[in-house]
Formats: sequence, structure tokens, C-alpha cells
Amino acid sequence: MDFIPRPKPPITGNESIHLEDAYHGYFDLSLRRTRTVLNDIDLVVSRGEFVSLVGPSGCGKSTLLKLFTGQEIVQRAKNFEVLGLLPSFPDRTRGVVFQNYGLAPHLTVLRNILLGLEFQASLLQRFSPSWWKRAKDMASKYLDDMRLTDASDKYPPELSGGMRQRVAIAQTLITIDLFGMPDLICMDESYGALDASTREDLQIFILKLWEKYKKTIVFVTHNLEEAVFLGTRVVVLSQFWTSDQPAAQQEGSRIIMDIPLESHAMSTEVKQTAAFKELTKYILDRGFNPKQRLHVAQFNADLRHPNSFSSLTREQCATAFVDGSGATSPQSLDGKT
Amino acid sequence: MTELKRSIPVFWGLHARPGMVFGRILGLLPVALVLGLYMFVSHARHLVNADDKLMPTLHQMSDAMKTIMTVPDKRSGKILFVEDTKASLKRLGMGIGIAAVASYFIGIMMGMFPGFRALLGPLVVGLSNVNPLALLVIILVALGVGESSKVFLIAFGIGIPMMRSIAGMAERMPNELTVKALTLGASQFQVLYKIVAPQMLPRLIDLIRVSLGAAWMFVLAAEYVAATEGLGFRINLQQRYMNMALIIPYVIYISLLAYTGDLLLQGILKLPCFRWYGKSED
Repeated sequence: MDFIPRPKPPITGNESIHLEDAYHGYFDLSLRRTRTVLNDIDLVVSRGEFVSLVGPSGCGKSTLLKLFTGQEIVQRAKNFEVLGLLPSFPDRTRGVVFQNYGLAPHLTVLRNILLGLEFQASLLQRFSPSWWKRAKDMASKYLDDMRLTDASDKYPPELSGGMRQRVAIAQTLITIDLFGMPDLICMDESYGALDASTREDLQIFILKLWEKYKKTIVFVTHNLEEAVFLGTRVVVLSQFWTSDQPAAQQEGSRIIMDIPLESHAMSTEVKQTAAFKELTKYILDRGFNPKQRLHVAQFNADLRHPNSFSSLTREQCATAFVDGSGATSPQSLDGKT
Repeated sequence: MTELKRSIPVFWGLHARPGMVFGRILGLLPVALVLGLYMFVSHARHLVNADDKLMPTLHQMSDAMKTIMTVPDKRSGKILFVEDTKASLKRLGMGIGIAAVASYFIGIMMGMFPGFRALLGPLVVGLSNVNPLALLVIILVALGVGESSKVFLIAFGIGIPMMRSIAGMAERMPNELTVKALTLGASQFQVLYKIVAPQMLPRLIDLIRVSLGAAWMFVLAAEYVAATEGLGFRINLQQRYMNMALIIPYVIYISLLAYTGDLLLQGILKLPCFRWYGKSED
């Protein structure tokens, strides 16, 4: 009858992200104590995975991403490795695409795209005209792909939101072409400011790039459809859950769903299929509903990805074991009773 | 077809459109009024007392200026007007130059490096609250009555507030910009000189524009107290003889110089390389 927490997958050393029992929070001035944002996060991401990270607003998606990029340092965790190392401050191994900012306003679009190359060029490359020619050719290819050729001499403040976003994406991707870095790309609501058609174009674009280079991508979005369409795996982070612990320990978000997704069809038509719609609706109902909080012991049903695991304690699911009755029983969910 | 017409007020109300010509005329009106009033009162005073020195006529003023601009000084053999201008502009230029360079580099460092900010922040905030004019006597005693004390007064008086502003602006730069640059492979030094410093340059020029008035004030104050040449010195000297015929044109001349300086800096900001500056971010 014992409830068995989902075991940790074997760690091969080939993971992009390995995060275990992570807690993170901020000091809240009005509460005069640290308010937990991330509560016991367990996440293992293999190299080459395309993880869509979704969740209700305020659930801490961006905070989790900041831990990966090194903008923030995790407060407490049993294990935390990104690309095999405890993440240090932001560097070229982990790329990031923000929804806003990130573009140097004083540089033209072309110079912005070349920025990564300018930074990383070795002394030899810096003075080699042929290398710069190659870099410029590469940049103009990206300008072309992103439909930015006409804007190449404009400054970011002169561009629309969508165009700026395309520049920001090109900035990061071009360094993969020339330097093979970054190995992990964190996208923080990157497509949030785009109109529908540009958005679909860029979705296909990022998929093609992912197919070509097989870099790990963590894609934070509030658009569930986009998440399910793009990812090989959709992870739902949500603050709407409950356990048998005191209320103070139920603060913050947990990963409540982790679902593997079908391989990509490279066509946005898949979004119209019944299975696709059913899945997005299922995630929406279970993960985004503040009125119907799921019990931690019920998560196992939705932690379906082979890499997902959860380390629950007996206290957290006391009722689920003791009486075994009602909707909160994990056994009934697993269909083993 | 009937012509639709709506009357638009030319002067009164929120919707008024004075137009180009009428607008110019409107603007000249108070200027002409002040000028006319001065000429009228000056004329009236001269009718009562032909030797009135307080309000010289325009003719007297132009005569005084002609003399100082063309007749060489008996003692030095130089034209005083040119010497005064050169002396004052040199002090001003050196003071502003030192203030600009120091505030640019130290300000950026303070804005970007928290350690540097913690180290220098209290000192700079403290110094920015010291009134430079109150410090003038100490500066004169410490640095003597030569050029260095005047240059120091200007550099200190405008440099410290500028340093504070630059530090604040660099600190408020979106953190995402730094993070993005670092993820693109920038070293910390590259973030500084490729991302932050170029963005601070037009802001520095704007700051100099704002500080120009204060800089002129410090030059004149220093020249009033201790100098042997300069625009402020000349005014102070002529005050002993109540020579308003020279003082008033000098005041106007100084104002025009200040205005020219402002226009020059504005011109720099209009260069193509600063095209991005001043455009809204969103």
C-alpha cells in the first residue's frame, strides 16, 4: 500500500539540466520573511530536448529560467547542474532570448546580429577579413531568414516589437552557427509580443534550427498551444496544488505535469487536430485551475515523461495513504486498487 | 457643395493655433516691450541728468564695446575683449572637460560595479551636497589664485553631480542587456565598453548641456574673487566705476556665449551616430 514516489531517472552525465529538491524564494517586505516561489522542483532535461515550460501567471517560470541562466543563485537544492556544472554567472554556454530588451539600442540591426561574433572572435579572427566576410554573409543570411534585410541599418528603437524579437533571436542563433555555442537556449516568453503569423513563422524557424543543431531549448511561454506544438515535452509549473503539510509549506510552485509530446510535424496544421486540442484542454483544466487544486500524490499520473521524477515525503501525502479514500487517493488514479 | 468651416482661435484656449508668422510676432512682442521700456526710461533719465551712469543709452553701450573691442590696452597692448573671452572660455573648457571625463569613467564604473558603487557612493553623494561656492575660499587658499583653482571649482562644481547622474543612469540600464551580452560571449570589460559606455555618451552630452549654466556661474564667481582677466573680472572691475555702458553688453555677450555652447552640444546630439538616442524604447 505504500505510495512510491516516482524514482529519479539514471543520471548519465549527459544531461543539460539536473535539478533536484530545489527551493527558491524572495524576501517579501510586507510578509517580513522569504516567500517561497519554487517549492521542491525536480527536473532532469537530457541534451537535445525541447522543453516547453508553461504555468499560470506568477508561477515562477521566469524565476526557474533565471536559475538556469545564472542570473539568480538557487537558495536550496540537493543537486543542481546545468551542462554538467553548477551554473555560474551568465556566459556563452547558455543563451537567452528575452521578450523585451536585450538589444543594444545604439547599434544597428546588422551590428546587433554581429554582436556575439564581435565578442567571441579570437584575436586571429578579429583581424582576418575573410572571417569577417564569412560572418557578414552569415548575418545577411539571418537577416534574410528573419525578413529583416530592409531594416538592417535601422536602430532597435525604430523597429516594431516583432522585428526586435527576430533580431534578438538571430543574435543568439548566429553564435551557434559560428561557435557551436550556446548548448542550452533559454527563451523567456520570446514570442509573447509577436502577431499570430510572425509567431507561426518563427515557431517553424526555431523547430528547424532545433532539428539541425539539436541544442537543448527551454521555452517559457504563456501560450499553451505554442508550448504543445513546439516541445518534445511540456512541463507545467503551477502554484495551484495542495498537500497534507501545513499551509506554510504549501507555498510556491511545483512541477505538477510533465508530458512527453509527439515528434514534430513541422506544420502548424497539427494544431487543428482533435488530439492536439484535447491535450491542451487537459493541461489547461488540470494545471491552470485555481479552484481545483490537485494533491501532490496525484501528480504521478501526469508526470509521464521518462525523465520526470518527484521526491515526496510521507508527511506530504499522509491522508492519501492512511484512508486511501476519496479523489485524493493516488492508488485510484494509478488504477491499481 | 457647402464649405465646412470651423473657426480656430489664434491665441486663446487649448485649441489655439498661432501659426508661424503670428507666432513669431507674439514672441517678439515682450522682447520689444522690455527693450522699448528700457530705452524710454534711459532717455528720460538722461534728460534730467546728462551724466547718468545707471541706465546708459544704446549708443553709449555700443561706444563702450567698440572701444574695448578695437583699442588695445595701454599697459599690455592687447585687446581686452579678446583676452577676456579667451581667458574665460579656457577656464570653462578645461573645467567642463575634466568634469566630463571624470564623471564618464568613474560614473560608469560606479553604475556597473556594485563594489565600486559601495566604495565611492557615500563619498560622491556627500560631496555633491557640498556647495562649491562655499568651498571657494578653501580652494583659493589650497590651490592659489592661479588658473588651477578656477578650473577646479568648475570641475568640482559640475563634475560631482554629473558623476552621480551617470552612475544612476548606468545602474538603471536594463539588466537584461548585460545578461544578453554576457550570454553572447562578452567579457565584463566588453560589456562596459561595447554596451554601456556608448549608450552613456549622448547622456553625458545632455548632462553637460544641463550643467552649462552652473559652469558659467562658477567661472564668473571665481573671476569675481580672484583674477586679472576674464569676462567676470571685467564686470567686477567696471563695477567700481559704475560703468554700466560696458557691463550690460558684457552680460548680454556672456548670455550669447552660453546659448552658443548649448546649440553646439545640441548639434552634436543631432549627428547621425546618435540617431538612436532619444527615441522611445517601447
